[in-house]
Amino acid sequence: MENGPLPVPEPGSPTTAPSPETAPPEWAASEIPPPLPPIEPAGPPPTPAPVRATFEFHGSAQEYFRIWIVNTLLTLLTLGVFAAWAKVRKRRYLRGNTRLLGHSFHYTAEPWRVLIGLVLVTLLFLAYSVFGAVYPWVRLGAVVMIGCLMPWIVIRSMMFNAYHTVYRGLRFRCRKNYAHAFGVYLALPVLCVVTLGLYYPAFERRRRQLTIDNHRYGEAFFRFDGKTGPFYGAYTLGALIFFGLVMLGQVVVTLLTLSGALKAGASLNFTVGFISGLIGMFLFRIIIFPRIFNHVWNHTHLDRHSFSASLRAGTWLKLQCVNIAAVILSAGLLYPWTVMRTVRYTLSCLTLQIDGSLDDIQAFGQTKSGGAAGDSAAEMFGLDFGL
Amino acid sequence: MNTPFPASYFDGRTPRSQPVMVTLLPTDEWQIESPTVQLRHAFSAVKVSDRLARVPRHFHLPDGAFLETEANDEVDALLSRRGSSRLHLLLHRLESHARLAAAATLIIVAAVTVTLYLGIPYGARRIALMVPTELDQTLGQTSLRALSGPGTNSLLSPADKYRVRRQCLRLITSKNEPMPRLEFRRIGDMANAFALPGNLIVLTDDLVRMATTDDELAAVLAHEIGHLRQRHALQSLLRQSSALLLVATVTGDLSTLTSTAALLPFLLLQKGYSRDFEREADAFALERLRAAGIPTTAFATILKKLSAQNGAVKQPFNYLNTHPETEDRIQPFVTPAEPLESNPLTPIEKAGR
Repeated sequence: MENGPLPVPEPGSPTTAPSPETAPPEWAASEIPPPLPPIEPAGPPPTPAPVRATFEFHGSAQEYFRIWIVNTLLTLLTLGVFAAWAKVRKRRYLRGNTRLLGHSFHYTAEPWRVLIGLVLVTLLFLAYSVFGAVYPWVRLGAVVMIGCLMPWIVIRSMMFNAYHTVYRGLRFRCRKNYAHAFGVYLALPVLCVVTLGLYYPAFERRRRQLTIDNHRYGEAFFRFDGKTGPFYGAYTLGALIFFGLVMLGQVVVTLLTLSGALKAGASLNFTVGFISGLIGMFLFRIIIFPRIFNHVWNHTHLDRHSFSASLRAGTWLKLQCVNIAAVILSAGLLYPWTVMRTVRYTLSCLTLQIDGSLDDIQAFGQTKSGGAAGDSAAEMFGLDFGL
Repeated sequence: MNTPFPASYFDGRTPRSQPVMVTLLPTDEWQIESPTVQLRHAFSAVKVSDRLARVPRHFHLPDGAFLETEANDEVDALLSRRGSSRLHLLLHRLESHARLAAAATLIIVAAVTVTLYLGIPYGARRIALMVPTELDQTLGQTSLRALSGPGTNSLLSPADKYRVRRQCLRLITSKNEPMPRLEFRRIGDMANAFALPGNLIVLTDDLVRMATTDDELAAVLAHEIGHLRQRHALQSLLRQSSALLLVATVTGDLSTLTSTAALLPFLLLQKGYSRDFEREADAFALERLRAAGIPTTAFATILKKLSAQNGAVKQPFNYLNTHPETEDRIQPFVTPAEPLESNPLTPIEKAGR
């Protein structure tokens, strides 16, 4: 499997072999090697052409479905205890089938640690929903507590997942940068509320920055230098589409009730508003994702190497529409298939532009991995940490 | 002699990979060989990842180095021949079995359906009836505050309010049953009644005005008392949380709860649960009205008035409604009832008493 750099001729290598005329007399004619063709005078070695390496996904839907369904059955039989193993296996399957330059990623987390995290999150969820409804102050208290803990949860979960991801023998890392996390997850949401949501796209950019700038591969640093403008562009477009759709729904209702096809009523308005809102939300996410994904990855670097992404909005829209239709029509059974499709397409649009070779990245010193409780809490709130 | 299998060796210090051949020696050591690498590691010192479909196998060597190989079957053969526990292969065997996967699918679909439509409602009812009523008070207070914003003050006369309270008295015959507290609000021009936990019933002005006879008011109250006695609000809360947990367990992923695809079935499930509660409240109302000697047709009348006022929606949208079809609900209230005095004693035995 090709993984090394392009061959570089070393300066000072022998340029000629002994020719028959200059060969020492003791050498028999057959032992004299044929003269090598002359090469250009040795100068500075030419810089190797940058290698564009595309990510590949080798997972298969049939395989993944069997894994998913058996793991789900075991989870149900063990009343949820097996969920930790199921989660680790899922991550191992997704990362293990992701390849770059012919080598795959490995996930080395121990299910026991993930289990502790899951138990904690389940208890918190139950406490929040059931007790929170009876005692509203519990709910408020829980929101405040989770809000304050969020930076810790985010960092610990990133540390845990990063440390347990191995590529070609080197582990990823996440810096224990609580200060940065508190700034992003405590101060900025306040700003979002104060500006009535207008700051939100900028917040999203800062969030990506927190994630990317604090990750390392071995000793190499990840860097994010994306601008805020494209975030605003994406969210504005998404918002326009959402509100446009809701208004369209209301217009349709008004026309239908005026023409007498449907009788006006509060429930009709509500139903149509609700459906158009649901479709609007769905489209909002579909419009935003490719734009943000491309912008973020196009401005992500690993030392002197760079990523580039080329998700196409049209392909993504078609993909997600088919996915949601498949999941609804199959009562969820086609969910593994939709995961495979999405991951395969996403990875096929992601490339790493390697300047020279990755081989000169050194390993980092041994550090303690992060806690697993932060890991599942993060998943509960639908946070995605890439990689 | 075990056949060596090819692997990539990573020294853990740089991402440089070296092709090696790996085998398990009779001395219970892993041997890693190549022109540039010659290593031996004790079997117990090396951590081998479990088999997972075709995912490349991972060896974690004690000095921080790693091996990566796609020769999964060869590794499995070596491990089995050594006699180490088959447990690590068991999961893989289960996951590769197509028929088991099909069986698992059927079992899961059946189990989830039964749980959602039978198990959770049953469990929620049992638990809700056990929860002390004091807890309900706080739940109800919060909801009442939501209905008591500015501009919701009732414009009914004290006489009207007293009329409604009198109907409540007709329905509560047992001394042990606490009288529900009645609150009146004005919510736009909506005619509606809410049963809030904590023995609280809220009625809107327009509903009271819509009822032309006392019996119609009694019918509505009977329905709401049904919600209260059976602790439907608490049951609803328990059902929702359990359903969420169940779906999270099944999908093994808490983040699917935030996806749009999961939202739709949840809403339908919630509507389904609401319809269960409405049906139960109707059945309770039927019995209570009969026991109080109030004609059950009053319920049919007020229900028809309500559905006319709220705007009948065409067929396709009805599934999204929280209340079952009005026609179906009215049916039990207009069919001739069995004689109230039905009792197991024959007329002769009755005469002998």
